[in-house]
Amino acid sequence: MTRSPLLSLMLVGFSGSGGSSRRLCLPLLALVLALLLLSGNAGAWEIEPTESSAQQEAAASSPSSMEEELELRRRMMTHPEQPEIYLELADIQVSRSATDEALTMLAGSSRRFLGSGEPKKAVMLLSKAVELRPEDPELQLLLGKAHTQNRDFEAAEGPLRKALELGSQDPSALVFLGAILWESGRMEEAEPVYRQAIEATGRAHMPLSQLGRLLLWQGQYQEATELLREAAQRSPRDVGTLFDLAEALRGSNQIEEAIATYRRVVLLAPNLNKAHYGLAILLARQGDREGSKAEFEIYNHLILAAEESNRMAEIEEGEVDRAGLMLRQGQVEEAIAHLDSLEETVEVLLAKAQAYRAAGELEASVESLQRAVVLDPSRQDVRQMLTSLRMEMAQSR
Amino acid sequence: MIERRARPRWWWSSLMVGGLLVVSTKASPAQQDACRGTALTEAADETGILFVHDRGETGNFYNPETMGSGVAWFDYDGDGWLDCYLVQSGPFPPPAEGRAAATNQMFRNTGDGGFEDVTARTGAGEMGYGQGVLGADFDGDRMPDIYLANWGVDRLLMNRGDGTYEDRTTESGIEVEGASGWSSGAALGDADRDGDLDLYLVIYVEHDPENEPFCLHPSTGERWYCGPSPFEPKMDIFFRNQGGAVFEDETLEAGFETANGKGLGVLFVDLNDDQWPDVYVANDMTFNLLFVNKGDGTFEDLSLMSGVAVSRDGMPEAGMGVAVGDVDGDGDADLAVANFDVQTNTLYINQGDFFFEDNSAASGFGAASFNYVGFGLVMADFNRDGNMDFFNGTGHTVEISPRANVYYEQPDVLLLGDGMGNFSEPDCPLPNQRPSVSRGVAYADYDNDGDPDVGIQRSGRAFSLLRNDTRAGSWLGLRLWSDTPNSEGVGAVVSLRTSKGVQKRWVIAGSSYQSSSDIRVLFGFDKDAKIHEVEILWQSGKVQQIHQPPLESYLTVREPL
Repeated sequence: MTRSPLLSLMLVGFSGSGGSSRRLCLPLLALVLALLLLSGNAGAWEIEPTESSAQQEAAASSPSSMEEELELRRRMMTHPEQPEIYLELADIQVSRSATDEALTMLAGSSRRFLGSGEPKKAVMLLSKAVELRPEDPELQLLLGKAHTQNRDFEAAEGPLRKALELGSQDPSALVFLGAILWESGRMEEAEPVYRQAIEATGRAHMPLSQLGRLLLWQGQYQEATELLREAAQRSPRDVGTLFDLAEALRGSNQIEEAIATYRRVVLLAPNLNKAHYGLAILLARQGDREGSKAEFEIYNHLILAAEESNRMAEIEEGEVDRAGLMLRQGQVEEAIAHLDSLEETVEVLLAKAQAYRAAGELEASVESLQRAVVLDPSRQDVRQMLTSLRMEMAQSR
Repeated sequence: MIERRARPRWWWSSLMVGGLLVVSTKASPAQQDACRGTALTEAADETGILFVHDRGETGNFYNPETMGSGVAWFDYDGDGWLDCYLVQSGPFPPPAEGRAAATNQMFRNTGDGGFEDVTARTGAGEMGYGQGVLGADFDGDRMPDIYLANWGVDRLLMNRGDGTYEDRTTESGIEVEGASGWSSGAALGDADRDGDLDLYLVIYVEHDPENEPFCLHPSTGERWYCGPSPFEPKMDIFFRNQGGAVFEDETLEAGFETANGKGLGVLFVDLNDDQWPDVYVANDMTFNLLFVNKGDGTFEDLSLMSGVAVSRDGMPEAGMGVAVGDVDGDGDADLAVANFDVQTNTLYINQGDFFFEDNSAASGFGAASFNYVGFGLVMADFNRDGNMDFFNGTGHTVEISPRANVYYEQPDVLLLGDGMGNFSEPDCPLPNQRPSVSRGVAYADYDNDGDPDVGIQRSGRAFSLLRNDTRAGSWLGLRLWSDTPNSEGVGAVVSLRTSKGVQKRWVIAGSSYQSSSDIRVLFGFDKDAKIHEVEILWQSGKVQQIHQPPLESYLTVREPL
């Protein structure tokens, strides 16, 4: 059956393990968020404090709170991954009546956490922000999006509705609300929300394609075709929309146009296995055995390759997680020994770096990160960790 | 030859003597109306089927602990009343010498609405880590035998005919490597139409508890059960019957070389009316498989081409239970598969020539399962309106679902058909039903009152028996009887012609998830429908017609010589 809104945005097609839904589909959510956060109204909460401005701000406070604030900012530099530091800092800022600065810092940091796929941390910060200023529609919207990325749809609904109630002009509030209602299985409630979003955006691509997809999911192929056709006109290279349009055309028995649309999709995204499948099925129905066979072969090849690579990735991820759990339980040596027994990949090396760091062996930790950079020079996150660790070592010296 | 089975004595006496009590436990006419004729009541306790599944939870997150077990309905003692066989699992891994206490259990139908535990008396209490069960006559002596698909060595228990069973695993030839791994379910069909029944065994995955993959829960960060992805698939096994329930592994010779999925559900059914049974297998996140019988007892894999391997949009799904029947009244067999939540269950409509259309969306069949993880799936006419309905046992695999408002314990789903391929839930909830963790599901008219009752195995919980007390419509039941080794008429296609149209049933042995249902044929229809005839197309090719059959009873119909 056609995917739900967030799942269906998966442009890479088959994810293997995700199928059993026993894993999350965060990449999809990240994609949705990227699309919507970029288009969303960042509002007043974009300015991030620099070290020099922080020093100026802290100078206005009492000597003890100034010291405390400076120390927190130093810790933010070395441990940017710890949301507790941001919360502590926000408390100090609020205590010196700098609530706007606290909100700017919380919103900016939460956006970074969302960008790096850490929605729980974003939720922590945004919950604090909303507590400080509950009547701000942009903060409510951001919190709703963070809950959505965290796949906590029940928690997301309240802030999203609140943002709309408070007069948020950001149409992504409606699109997100529609998506979480759908994800929760409340399709009949999602439909009017999407229709409202279409009107609010002047028939923008995103709500058009989402409602089209919802109707496709419900088997209402005729209207889905109309909406998706319009969405495709607005964004002619959007592979997800084109694929859905092909599916809707197939459902409404417009076979020739469906075939042409599938062909366009596989041209734009040759590895999108499900488009090859749709094309193969229709060619078979048309009696084009050779064409169908060729498409099935591509589909089969892509699926099986994805399945196997996914299987291996999941096994590796599991073993890294196993070491992570050992670390959390204080079994540092066991964790290092376990990681030593695994094939050296970037993820294994990252885990090793973490384990060595926990063991206080910073040089070994740096070495692991360096090897990870060599294995995959494009990994900016690894480079950042390396820089951060080196700074930490320099400071401790 | 037709032998009419009279309505059971208790049925009359219950009306005359215990009528008030019976009426008080049944749904009122108003309730039945809201339920569109269905009237299901929890009856496990009152019938005496007291069974609690032990999943053998160890804290080590062994995947088999999530899979539950099956239920089979068959008449082991030949008294005309369907008995109930329930598969036990834990502990895991099973000790080499077998469990000390819990075993599979056999419950004998006493014919008065109750059951008695006859496990010890029958010797049917096998002690492996149980998964699936198939109760059917393997050797043609008209006494149902029991195939047990286990994690570990499978077992074949043969009915001696005196109310006891003997373990004939070794003699039957099923002790091959694959059948000592993790098998999940089994089905019988006369693949080569030589008169005896061949066996298809679905194997789930390669599994070694010493090397259980490690997975973390995405929300809690604690260890939890892995899904199927980290496990390697394993080949299913096709056993050809050499006569007398002695089997040979002919998986490759018969054309099943691509049967290398993560199998959980299987059935034999003739999908193109050529009288040669085809095989359909539901796999967990690998392609479902359709093996088309080439007309000589060997098979060709048409899974992808036919459209039944994946969802409509080309995604492999977590196939668990399978069901077959004619949902749209066009006379051919449609297929349905229970899947994971969000994927939704899938309904494949037979378009002829081995083309199927996934009509889950437009039919309403899929949407009802959006928030549920489907396991056991059966198709029957629960409200006797002449249309096929579905019952789906649901329940998550893990205690804390990664999706909000999706829970471990889930409500089972009853979907009523309109005879044109569309489905909807009745307006009333299933009575006396709390959400649970359902796995194996099988139906049987255990009280011979002409409607399908449902047995549901619950993972780590008590067995549930939903007695159907519908008063809607009328009915006709058939028990097929053949003097061939296929004594129960497996593979026969039975058509009922009435003034309201034609209904068709396929006699199958083994389906759903880890389970096997009542092998008898049951038709429901409007009270004002005029019954013309029943036609039976036996697997042998013989055609038999019964004009104006007697209604509201089970007829035993013997295959013509």
